[in-house]
Amino acid sequence: MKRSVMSDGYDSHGFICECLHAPHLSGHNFDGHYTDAVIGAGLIAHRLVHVALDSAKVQWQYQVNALANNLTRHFRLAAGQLRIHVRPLAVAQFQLEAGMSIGHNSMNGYGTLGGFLINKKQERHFIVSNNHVLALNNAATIGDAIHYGNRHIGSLSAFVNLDYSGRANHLDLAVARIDSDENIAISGYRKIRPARVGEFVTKTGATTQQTYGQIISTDYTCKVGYGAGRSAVFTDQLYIKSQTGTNFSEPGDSGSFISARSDGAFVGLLFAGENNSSATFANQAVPVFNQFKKWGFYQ
Amino acid sequence: MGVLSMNISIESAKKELEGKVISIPSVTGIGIVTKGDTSVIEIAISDESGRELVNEFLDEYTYKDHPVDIIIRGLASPLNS
Repeated sequence: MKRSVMSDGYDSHGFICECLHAPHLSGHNFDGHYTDAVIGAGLIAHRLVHVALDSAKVQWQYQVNALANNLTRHFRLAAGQLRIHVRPLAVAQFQLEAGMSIGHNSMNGYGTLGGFLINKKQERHFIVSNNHVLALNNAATIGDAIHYGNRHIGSLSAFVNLDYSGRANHLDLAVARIDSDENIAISGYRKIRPARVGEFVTKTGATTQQTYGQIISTDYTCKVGYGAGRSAVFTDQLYIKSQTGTNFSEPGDSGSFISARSDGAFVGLLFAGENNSSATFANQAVPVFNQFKKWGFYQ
Repeated sequence: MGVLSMNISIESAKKELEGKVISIPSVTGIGIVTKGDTSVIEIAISDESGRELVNEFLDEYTYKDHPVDIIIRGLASPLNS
């Protein structure tokens, strides 16, 4: 026996299409009754026709009764073969996942949601990315809104200050607390270890998605320009080159977690690169982890 | 002016050079990179204007067993869109 479940939109599965070659219920004019209120239709157990109406568009019981009578007559349904219920329109299930484009509410552009930090003691979840993605290069305030497009997903929780004086930086790092009602997709827990020169790595970023590269150096010192004439010196950074003909990273990939292909370990946090080249720079994972501990995430 | 110590590791050589060249405005990076089976001290400069200054520091670099490459590569940028 065919089974069907309620679905929004045009579900013409089974009984309706098979027996009567009827057009989709939604939008069909049944003598002017509120058919535009149909948000779902389908066949459930025992060939019972189930129709869902949008509660925002249905005000009176007589409207439901009239539609039921018309549907029964039009589709020649047997007595008791039709069920109508009224409910709100369903919404798409949204969930946060690594690789999505996110940013500070005031930022033009976006970076990448690198991964999640779970504070088991407080039962809270945090997004990990860069200072320049979540904290506006030190200009943000704790509590500022973090967005995915127009959707508010969390608030800035902590960041490592960028030093533009010429002293060495090691991290371009920030975390944001996720709103409690957001769904998050966690594929597993990763181990954290130092990267090794020569090992092959991968990342999933908001711009270039999944790319593959190789660690060229684990102690690279680079200057990074942060706009407005400012630059910061970073020491002991990972230098990664692409393994393919395309760049390992592009603008928008900031914040991506870099994983070792051999064991999936988290080895770096992507934050900078040279435009139009395959040179990508990343913070080492162990200092990132140590900063999490300083912030009290592992007490 | 000074002379780098003899018999130092490539890591130590890189640290000593780093301390001298990183303050040069056109220097955008320094690190030890692998080229085939060889570890090379790479100094990145944004344009040719820094090469002469870098070479001055390299003239002081007496431990010749450590190869140094000077390449041109622009200033890195944070990768937000």
